[in-house]
Amino acid sequence: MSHPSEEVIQEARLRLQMRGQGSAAAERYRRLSHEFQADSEFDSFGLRQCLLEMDRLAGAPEPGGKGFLRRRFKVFVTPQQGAARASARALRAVEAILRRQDRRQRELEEKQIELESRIKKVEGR
Amino acid sequence: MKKFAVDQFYPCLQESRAVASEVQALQEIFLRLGHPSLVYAGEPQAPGGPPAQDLRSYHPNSRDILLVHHSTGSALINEVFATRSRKILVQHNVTPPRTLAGLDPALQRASESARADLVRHNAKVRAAVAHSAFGARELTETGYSRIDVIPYTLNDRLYSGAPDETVLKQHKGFGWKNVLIEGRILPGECIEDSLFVLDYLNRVIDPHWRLILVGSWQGAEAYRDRLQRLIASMRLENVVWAGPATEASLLAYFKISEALLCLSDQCSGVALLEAMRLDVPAIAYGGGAAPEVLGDAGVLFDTKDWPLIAETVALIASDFTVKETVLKGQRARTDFFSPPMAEQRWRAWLDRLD
Repeated sequence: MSHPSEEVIQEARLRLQMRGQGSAAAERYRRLSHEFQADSEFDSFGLRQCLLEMDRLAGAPEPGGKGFLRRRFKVFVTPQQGAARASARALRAVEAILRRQDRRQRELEEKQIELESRIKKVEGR
Repeated sequence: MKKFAVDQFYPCLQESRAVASEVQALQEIFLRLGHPSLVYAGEPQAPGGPPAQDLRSYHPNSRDILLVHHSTGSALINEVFATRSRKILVQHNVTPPRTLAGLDPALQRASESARADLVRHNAKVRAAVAHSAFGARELTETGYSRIDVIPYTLNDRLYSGAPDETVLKQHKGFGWKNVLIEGRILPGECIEDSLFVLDYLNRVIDPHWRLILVGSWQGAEAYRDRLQRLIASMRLENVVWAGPATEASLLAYFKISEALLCLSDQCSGVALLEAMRLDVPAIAYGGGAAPEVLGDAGVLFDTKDWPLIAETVALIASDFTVKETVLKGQRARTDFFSPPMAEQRWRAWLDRLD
């Protein structure tokens, strides 16, 4: 049995059809959602969380925070914070390399799936 | 004859506003029913929450009942289960550890230990209470046989307070139309889906749509960071990270919102209940306990069709008749969760238990 809100949803569906942008938008979000899930899998190893923790310990600014002022006025940095920042920089470089490789691997897998599907179609003819 | 006590234990009342709020509501019910009722907590009480006693001062007799609210692991849980009273486990959904992979390990450990506690203390529990059939499933999986489903008890008094003026001043006006998300910022809540809805609202319908996220992301910084990267890649500007909110702030966020959106896969339903109680349209995907909580009320989607969800949000906000239809259904549903109904349910349950 359908939910009573189906009537409201149906009316919204008509509006969506009238605008004619639903399919393109849905396709865009499907792609972004797929990329987001792939990023989630990459982050599930904990490297990103670890980096953010190190940034916090080192007193680094949050993205979009007050980093500019801090850098400009060269705020005093303790040796521990300095060490944490250096380690975070090294880890961030490692992360960038791994992320690039992960993305490349995914692209290759997608190509492979596409090729296999084409081959099946050709063989099926 | 003196009635038996119905006391409650929760490891950390500061950790969950929803649990602290229910503990308080239940204490009031048990006191009204003539049962002595105290709250015991492992850590200091939540600001504005129920006054909590030290567990060391708990000396029950064998007829007394202790409701053990369970959602995270607790170092005190062995002591709790060693007491003489009849233990009733009240299940608040445990976040599945697999959804916490890659976040602060402490979060994952707490979730794993909560799950282990469920299994370990199974035999010492007289009965278990879940707030939904969705919650009850986890109890069944961990070997519980006597499970009663009693809906979450809203602390009704909290919703008649005054909304925070600062929040109202800060966010109201300037033509903004707000969509609210309430709850911890965790991967299972699928905040990314709501960002797609906001993107469609902004690009296709009106650039004045704004998403307000109320809830803590402590321990889930990597997830928040991922969301921020998604926000940047979509060039979304109208996202407000409000963080954890006091009761008064939460009332203000509801007051300025056109709708509450919940596209979670593991919805506990508390935010939906609050939206219905505060007369704000509740729009949800049918994950977790959402269908049970909404019943015939609110707007329920069986798929995550982001453009359609966005069009529905915009329709409700722009069409008075449609909005009233939705709210009428919600008002009727709210009666089911009203304080007299909650009291009736708990009274009947205590009678059955005795």
